[in-house]
Amino acid sequence: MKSITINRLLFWFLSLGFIANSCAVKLAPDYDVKIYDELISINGQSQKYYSEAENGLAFETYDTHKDFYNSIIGSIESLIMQLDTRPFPDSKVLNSINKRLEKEGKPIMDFQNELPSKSAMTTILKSWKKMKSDHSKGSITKGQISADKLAFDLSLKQAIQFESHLKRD
Amino acid sequence: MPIEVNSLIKEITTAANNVIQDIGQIATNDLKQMSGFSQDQLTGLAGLSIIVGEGLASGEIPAEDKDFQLNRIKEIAKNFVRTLIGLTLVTIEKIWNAIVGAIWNLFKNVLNLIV
Repeated sequence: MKSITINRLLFWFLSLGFIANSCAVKLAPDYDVKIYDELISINGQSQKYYSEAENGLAFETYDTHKDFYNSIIGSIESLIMQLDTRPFPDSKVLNSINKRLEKEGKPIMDFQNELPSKSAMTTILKSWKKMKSDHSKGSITKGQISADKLAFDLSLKQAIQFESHLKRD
Repeated sequence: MPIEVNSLIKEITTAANNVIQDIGQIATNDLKQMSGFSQDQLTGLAGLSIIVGEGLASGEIPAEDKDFQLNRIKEIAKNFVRTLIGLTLVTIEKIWNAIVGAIWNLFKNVLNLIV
């Protein structure tokens, strides 16, 4: 059995070990089950509305829906605030990515403020505010409901896909 | 202090095989998820464009809604790209940390061989 003197090998392994120990990265926030659960809840409430409103909504039904609009808008605004205030990793890697993009003349990504779940919920919030406003002034057509539902589904799936992916296991 | 080369080689080979398997698993699972998600989003965006187009043409969607509807489609498409970037970052993080974790464990195991 061949022997190797320890000095060089040990030096190499010590360096590698110290580097490895400090090199783990974090590029996205931690998974938060409360945020995930809130997304599921918002989805449930919204799907109920779309099911009821499938064939459009008469102007006269605004009063019966007013509380729902206020409630869903409030829930989404509250969730966006949660998304805004959760800890975000201070990553040198993300900063380097942006420096590289800037160097190549490409638009940089504000990772913290443009998190997929936040962008998606902001789009949904605008839709609900418009729906409330439109309904308060007149009826909502079947076409508007169809478009709104599909837009909602697409955006919510983006948020859920990203948030569940944060569960790294 | 001598070190047994054969044991060292065995440690490194085992660690390397484990890392390759882990990375393969992470990449396969994550890619499958992303592929399904992308397909769903692209189909949905196409469907939304059709609903909006036909709705505006027939009057089922009021003409004054046109800007709002088209801007929303653009936003959803941009958010789709943001989501893909976000998913990719998490996958890269998992793979990187799997490699670094394997090196660190290898380092600790080799230290056991030495001391």
